[in-house]
Amino acid sequence: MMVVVQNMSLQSGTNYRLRDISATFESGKHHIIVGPNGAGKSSLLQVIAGSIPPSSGNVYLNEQDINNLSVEKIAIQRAILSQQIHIAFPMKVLDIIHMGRYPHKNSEVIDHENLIDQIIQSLQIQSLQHRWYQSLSGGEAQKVQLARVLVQLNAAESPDQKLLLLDEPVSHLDPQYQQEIMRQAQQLVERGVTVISVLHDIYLALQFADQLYFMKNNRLLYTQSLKEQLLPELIEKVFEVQVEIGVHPITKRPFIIYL
Amino acid sequence: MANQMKPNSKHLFVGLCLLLMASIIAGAALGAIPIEGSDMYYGLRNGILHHEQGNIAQQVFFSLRFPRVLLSAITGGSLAVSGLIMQAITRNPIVEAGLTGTSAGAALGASLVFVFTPLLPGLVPLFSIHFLLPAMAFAGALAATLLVYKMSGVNGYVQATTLLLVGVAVNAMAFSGIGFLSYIARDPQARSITFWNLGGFSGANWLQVGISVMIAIAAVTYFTKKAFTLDVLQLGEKEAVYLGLSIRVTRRNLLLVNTLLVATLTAWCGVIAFVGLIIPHLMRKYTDGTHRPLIAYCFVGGAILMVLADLAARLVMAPAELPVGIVTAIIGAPIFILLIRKQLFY
Repeated sequence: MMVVVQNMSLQSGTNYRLRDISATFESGKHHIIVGPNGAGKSSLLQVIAGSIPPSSGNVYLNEQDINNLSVEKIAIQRAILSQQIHIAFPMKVLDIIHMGRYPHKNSEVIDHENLIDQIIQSLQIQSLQHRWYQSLSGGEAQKVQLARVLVQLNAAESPDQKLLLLDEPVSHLDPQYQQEIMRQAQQLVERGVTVISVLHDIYLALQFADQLYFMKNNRLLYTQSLKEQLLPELIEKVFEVQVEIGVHPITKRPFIIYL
Repeated sequence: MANQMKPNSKHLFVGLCLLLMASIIAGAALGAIPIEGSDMYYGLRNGILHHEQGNIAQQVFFSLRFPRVLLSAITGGSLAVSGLIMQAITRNPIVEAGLTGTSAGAALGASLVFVFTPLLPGLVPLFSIHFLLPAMAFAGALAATLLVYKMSGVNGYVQATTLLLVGVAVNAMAFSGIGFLSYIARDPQARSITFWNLGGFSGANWLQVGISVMIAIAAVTYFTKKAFTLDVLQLGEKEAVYLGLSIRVTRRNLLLVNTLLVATLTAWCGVIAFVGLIIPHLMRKYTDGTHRPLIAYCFVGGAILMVLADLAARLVMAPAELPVGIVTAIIGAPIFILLIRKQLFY
């Protein structure tokens, strides 16, 4: 899905939460937004998700103005993985994965049983599906939430029309789970899904991004394609730390070292 | 959480239904006048076919005991389901109609009817008291519930602790209004307000049973249809919106239907607290936590508890009887305290 943000601002009272943001998120790429705490990364994601209407400017999902789309309609084509979801009452893992069917509950076209089986297998969570959600570790729980989100996204069907948003999806998780979850997102990108992520971990961002977005003080400062040479000055300016950037000899991906 | 019994066991549900039938029969048989099986049969047959009245036992059974037991079953089931729904909306196990102002608001609305209808004699023939009472109870319940809900919301998100505290305040306001009304009321009205605030089924009749059955069926059907939505709400409001749930409309409709259900029953039998708290807590242990089975389990469980509580209320001090609200509070309050302790320390 193509996402276009045009001169968009978000205000609460007289405070700007987002100020004059313009960006084009092309489909089939992993777009990663980085920036210091309070830069407005999550607010931007919330506006693109359709849960907060922009105060001015426009957001288009596949050329349709987001203000003209209902939450029901948006939920059919985009899904969001947030960080850590707490559930107050005991529930089973499989029932939580099934919640991804919600926006498609009246659809007779989708074979949900089959879709859910496939997703459980590709995430290798067969052994978890009959357990109580509350008994899972943080990493396991996040994989279950990812499964639910993938059921909602239903990327098997016209993946280039789909949008996946990741809002700090791997914070506080062990490296093993961070890699697993980000790699799943990468597979979707390869199938044509647009993925927009908010990360505060710049290592992970460099590992997975096709396009990097630097935010600071509620503004989008720079956009940088990772095909180009990444400039240390950018990171130094945004994060106010001294860094050196190298290129890994085998993966050819950039990595940073804090000086 | 770890439980020996398989969740959603059909055997358990059938067992609960049989227990409910047994409780209803016991509730109908025992009391100031014991009633035998044959009198139940003939009482019911004569009553339905409008035959000539049988003996005293048959008359007591048909016009007093049986409607009373049925009303207590419907009320218990409905209050348990209503507690479950409030808990699902707020994602908190220590919420029920008695604590969020709903019951107290209904009580205030109904007290107004008790005190003011004798002063306005023209009003009663216009609106039969059987409809005026639930209508006013509904108005009071809705006003109190909305007040509590609006006051405890921050940016549209309801905080459970705030909800309980505001509920305490609104309850206090409603009860001071009721206190004022019983103070200015004449003796018989004051007595009926007092009795009614303690909760009881002694005034049960077939009209009340009929109206309650209709409302309970409508509400429980609606909630069952919304079971998947109630499940999805457990992810939190933000995630539910991500899944395409229009949260305002959903919450408003659930609250409206729930208030209607609680208000109608409260109009007949007064304020009965804690059933909506204990039963969902208990039933969660025997289901998988999804709302379709939970609603059914809670209704049957609540019905059993209320029929037995009413039976106890009639037998403990026989031939005098206790208000049933006292019985449920004696059982419920300690469990409520345990639940709060558990929330704080686990």
